[in-house]
Amino acid sequence: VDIVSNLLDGFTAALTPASLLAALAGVLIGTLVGVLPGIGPLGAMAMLLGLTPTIGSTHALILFAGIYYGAAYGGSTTSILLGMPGEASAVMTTLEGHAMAKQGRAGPALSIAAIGSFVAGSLGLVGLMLLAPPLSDLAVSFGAPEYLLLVLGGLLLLVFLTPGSTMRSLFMVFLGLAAGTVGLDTLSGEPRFTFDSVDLAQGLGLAPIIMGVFGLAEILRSVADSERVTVGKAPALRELAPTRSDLRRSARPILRGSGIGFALGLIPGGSGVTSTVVSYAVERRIARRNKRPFGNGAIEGVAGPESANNAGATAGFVPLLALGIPFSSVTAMVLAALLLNGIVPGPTFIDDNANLFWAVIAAMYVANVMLLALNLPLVGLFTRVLAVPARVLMPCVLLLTLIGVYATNNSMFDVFVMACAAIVAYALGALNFSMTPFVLAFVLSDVAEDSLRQSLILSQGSLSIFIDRPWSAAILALAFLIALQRLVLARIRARGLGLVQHEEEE
Amino acid sequence: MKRRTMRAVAIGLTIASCASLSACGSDTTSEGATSDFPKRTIEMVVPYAAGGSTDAVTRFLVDLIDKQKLLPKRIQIVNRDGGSGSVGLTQVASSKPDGYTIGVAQSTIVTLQPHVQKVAYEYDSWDALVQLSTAPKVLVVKSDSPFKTAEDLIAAAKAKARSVRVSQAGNLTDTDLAIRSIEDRTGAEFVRVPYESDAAALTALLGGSVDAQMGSGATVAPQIAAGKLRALVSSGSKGSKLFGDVPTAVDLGVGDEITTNQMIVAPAGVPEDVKRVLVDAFVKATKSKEFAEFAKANSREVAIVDEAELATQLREEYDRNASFEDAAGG
Repeated sequence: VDIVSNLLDGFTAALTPASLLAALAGVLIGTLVGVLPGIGPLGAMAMLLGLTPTIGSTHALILFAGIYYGAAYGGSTTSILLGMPGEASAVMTTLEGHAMAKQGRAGPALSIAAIGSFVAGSLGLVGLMLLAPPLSDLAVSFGAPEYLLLVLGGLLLLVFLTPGSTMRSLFMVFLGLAAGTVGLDTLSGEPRFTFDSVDLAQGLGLAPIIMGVFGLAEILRSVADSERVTVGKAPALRELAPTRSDLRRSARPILRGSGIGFALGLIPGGSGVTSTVVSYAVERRIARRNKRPFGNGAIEGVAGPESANNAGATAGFVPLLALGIPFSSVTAMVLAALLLNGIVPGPTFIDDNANLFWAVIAAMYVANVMLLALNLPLVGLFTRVLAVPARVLMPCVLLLTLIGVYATNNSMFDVFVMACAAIVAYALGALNFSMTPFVLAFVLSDVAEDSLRQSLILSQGSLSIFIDRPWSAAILALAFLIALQRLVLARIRARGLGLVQHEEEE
Repeated sequence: MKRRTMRAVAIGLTIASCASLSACGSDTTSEGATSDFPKRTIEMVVPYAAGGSTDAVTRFLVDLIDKQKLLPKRIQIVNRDGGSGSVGLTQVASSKPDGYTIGVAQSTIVTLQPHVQKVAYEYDSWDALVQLSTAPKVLVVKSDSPFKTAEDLIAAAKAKARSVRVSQAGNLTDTDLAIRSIEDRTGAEFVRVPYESDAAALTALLGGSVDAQMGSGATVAPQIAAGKLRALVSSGSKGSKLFGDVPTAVDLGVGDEITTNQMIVAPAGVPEDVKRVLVDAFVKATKSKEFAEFAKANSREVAIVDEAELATQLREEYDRNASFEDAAGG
């Protein structure tokens, strides 16, 4: 009853014209930066940080939450339409989503992504609202050993998930991890592979790498392959909405994705990306078990990761609001907006600022509804992009990509990085290397390396730290069981068929 | 927002058309600095990403200057992140000394970074105009920790070397220097566990991965207030009461004063009258009631130090930090 009255008070505050305006501005900006290459939610928030003292803490929080959500919605658009993810968490969506677009099913893919995001965001909010304090204690109980195991688990899953040879995927994972070491080492501050260059000391940027290997490389391929005149197939208007079968097939993946995303989103360090990989893996496994097609435009592969991505975004607010600890750079920006308004969030934030907390929760519900209402009609508009001939579309995308990557840091160096990444990706792509493991390994390399080193510093060199801690022991046990099951399965299958096959690859 | 993005893009393109950032600054400013300074917007380089503690305090001050009309023109914050602050300050050092490009700095950028990485400046490549405030570090344990006082913790670390694990925000950061100074003064040997940020170091402490944390006041103070953590000793100045009864390392004789200071820097050679206008505005804002509240909430102390004294202070710090020449990566 307490929660209901609190929430009603929250909605009273969230439904004022000014709050609605802040939410609308947030979701519009968020969707825009999510769709456009380069500038992400972080950049948008940084630009607007100076505005936050003027608009006050409530509206600042609503605005930033709107941007955060909006970007999570918008990020999938280019993944599905063009096969060019705008951010790391949308990479997994590309696999099935873009395949759907090529079959003229971009409409259902985009719609399901929006619906999944809505459901996951709303469910995540329920979790945030009811369970923030107890969940936050759980969240801090994970430490470096758990982060490491989680990230390694995610990368291994990725290796198995990527079509083609396991060795090639593994090679790309290592390449990604290696590329991630360039720059000043986060922990020691020591420069690595920088060749005394100030630019290299900054490390390779995520935006230039993603834009290079997915965006620019795709453009190169479209130039080289003159046969391909269109990027995808523009669907007929009546094929925009998901069919009843699409909805039915997506319902469970959305719920599972929400659960996976929210649970993993509580764990700091790369969990947003990992949760999309895990969700994709789970959906593929279930589809295989039920003898459903997967890997060539299955809607479950869009619904799951997209939901996981959004539920994870909400879960990221749990440690921030319940403990005052930002687990990601985006939530750190939200914290800065509060600081500039004279609020220093800590463990007593929800009690001390109950009105603010409930207004923001209510505003997040409102923002979610706005995003759904905004995104579903936009599906029609976005899919029209595919009707544009490649010779017109690709130069436009190229220009937007160049501007986006340049404008993020006003750095010409980033543009060079993008160009180099694109050339390498083009060459490797021609040799059947998949870029997905590369990019995700690159994203996760900092967490992987830092948490490995931290674990070993904590244990003073002993590997037993991974077994001594209950959570990491549990994760290891789970991984072991899965590996065992796979081995046994492979053995049975090999006996049945009389030959050893590469596990689950075609 | 559309407009804002477009403007950012437009600014980006303008800058691209200039040969370099610094060249761009000097080409467009032909008017000399006179007593009617400032005649246009002042650019203030924050050498860290938006959202950090130095960024936040600077934005708060700039906002105050704007609200209280302490300067006739606006100050525009520009974040130039990278190289532990050295990238942004290099830009300041190489800009035209007319007062229209200034920067905010922590002293370590000036006194430590030249020792530990290749930077394109010397510790005196700028005029450090004024120090405004300082933020001490504080050594905290969980409230159920067996260590009740700093002496307990130090004694344990001395009794058995490397038996006490302390989290901190990365090697050669202020939090690291603060814990090293305790080691140097007392002979205690901790396991210093570097994390990627103060927040991550705090998470490690709350989750029980480490026994103690040397953290910035702003990060740990809310946890202390909520009863989750206990403060043992701060790295503030002698007799500082910023954390109530918590003694400082100097008071106890177990360490040095190590604070993250906030100072305003400008390229060397800015005319005196221009400097005075800038310093006056920042000092007035820093002494305001509004700032006092902000400082208290963010565990920051107003500590105004003028240019001459600051120069001496930086020189001493620079010399002292020479011992870290080989410490990078250690």
